[in-house]
Amino acid sequence: MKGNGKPMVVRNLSYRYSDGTSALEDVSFEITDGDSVALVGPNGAGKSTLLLHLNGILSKQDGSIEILGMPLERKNVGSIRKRVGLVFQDPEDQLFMSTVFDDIAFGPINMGLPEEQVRERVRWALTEVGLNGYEDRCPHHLSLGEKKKVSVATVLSMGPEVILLDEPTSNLDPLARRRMIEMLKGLRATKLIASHDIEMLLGICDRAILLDNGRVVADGKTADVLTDPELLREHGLEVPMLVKLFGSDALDVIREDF
Amino acid sequence: MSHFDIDEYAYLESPFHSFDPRAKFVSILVLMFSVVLLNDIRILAVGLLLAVALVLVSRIPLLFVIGRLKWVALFVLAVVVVLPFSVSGTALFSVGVLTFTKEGLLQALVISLKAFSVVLLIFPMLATMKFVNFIKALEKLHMPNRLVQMITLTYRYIFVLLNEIQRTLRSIESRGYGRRTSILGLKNLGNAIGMLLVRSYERGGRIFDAMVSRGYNGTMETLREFEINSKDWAKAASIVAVAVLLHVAAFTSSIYVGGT
Repeated sequence: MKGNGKPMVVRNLSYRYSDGTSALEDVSFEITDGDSVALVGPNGAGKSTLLLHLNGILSKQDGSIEILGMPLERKNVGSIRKRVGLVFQDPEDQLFMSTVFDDIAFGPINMGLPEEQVRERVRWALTEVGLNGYEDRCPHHLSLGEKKKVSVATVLSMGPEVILLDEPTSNLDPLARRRMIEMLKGLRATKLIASHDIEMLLGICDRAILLDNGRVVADGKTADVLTDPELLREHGLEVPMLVKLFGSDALDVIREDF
Repeated sequence: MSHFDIDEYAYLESPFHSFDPRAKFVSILVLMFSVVLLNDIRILAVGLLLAVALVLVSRIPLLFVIGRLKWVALFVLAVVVVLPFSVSGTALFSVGVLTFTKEGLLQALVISLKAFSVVLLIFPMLATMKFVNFIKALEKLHMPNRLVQMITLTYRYIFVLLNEIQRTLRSIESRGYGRRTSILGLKNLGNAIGMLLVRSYERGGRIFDAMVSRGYNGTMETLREFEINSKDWAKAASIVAVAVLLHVAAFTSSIYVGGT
């Protein structure tokens, strides 16, 4: 791993939309190899905007981003995208091909891999998300939970070292959510997960970054940041009921539960 | 929500279902052109019978086929009603100032035979494979990749958009503005369509981002999955042979009869 074990280093990143609204202001953080990091914040805090930066879709206006030891610049963007996977919130956006197979194969084919390797990667990615046998299914006919898992598989097949996930559990029914969480926990890559699902984040992530109004408000252990009722309320969030009842003891319960 | 299932009859078993999609598409296309280019009404009748035979071989339920033919019939009916009166030639009878001519009637018949034959041939061609395989066949036949991408994305998102417009209309309705035919109703419909355009535009942007983030560079490729075997070649060759024979027959009959 390049980049001194720090696959992601963001310094003083700022971004304004074309209408002048500031979306990110002076955002700085680092992510260590193998970390699972939670990205939280109220609606409109800039979470999705930040994720789009880390994959090179939005280009930085100010500050610097270093991914896997490479500065995020035009000439690197291709190789960075191969190694940093972004899973969009709405699977209808993520899954644009007509079959599950073609969708998962899309990335590896674009990477120029030979046919046999592409097939192998599709097989592996489907096993990883627990959806073997779904190759010929049409994304339109899948349940939301399945769509979201296939979305993750489309990124896994590219073999990324870092996975960015935007709201992986939103809108899922409780059982589908649980399965998604179990699956995410099993993924070996470095993860950055943007979500409002604090309980899930407590279960999966070691570290949390709290974003509000485009600024990093807190950055620390999930056990500290995501169990602080005052802090969370101040920024439009809420600690889970279990934490309200049992304080930090709830953490063990949540971690064991998933 | 249930939609018309485009792949409804793609899972039956027939010589057409097992036919390689590329060979099937090309050979039947040749047959279609052959029929369209015929002008001999007797040979066209043979062509129509052939088309019916191919539909029967493909095992696609006739009721389904007839249901689709209704729409073609509507179009053809207009031709049949207008042509005999508008083409000049030997008068068969007159209605007021309008003259019903033999030549007009023949032309109308020729057009109807062609229309029905070609539409019938679409069934063994397209309804016997999954639409996805049809797109792949086009891709493997080297159709311009932009067009392949457009068809792929249209097929993927048409139902998503249908869902979206249905939701918008439902939400308008639930607030008491039904789809009534009034200025207000039309205004609401207009707004719904406008909203759909805006949403589609935004969705398009997000899809593009998703494609780019997975290495999209302008072309959309899938892996080869078809294998053409000797049976496919035989089927394709027979269909093309029939297409050629129709024209040979038309040519010889025109010599013997002295041209029609």
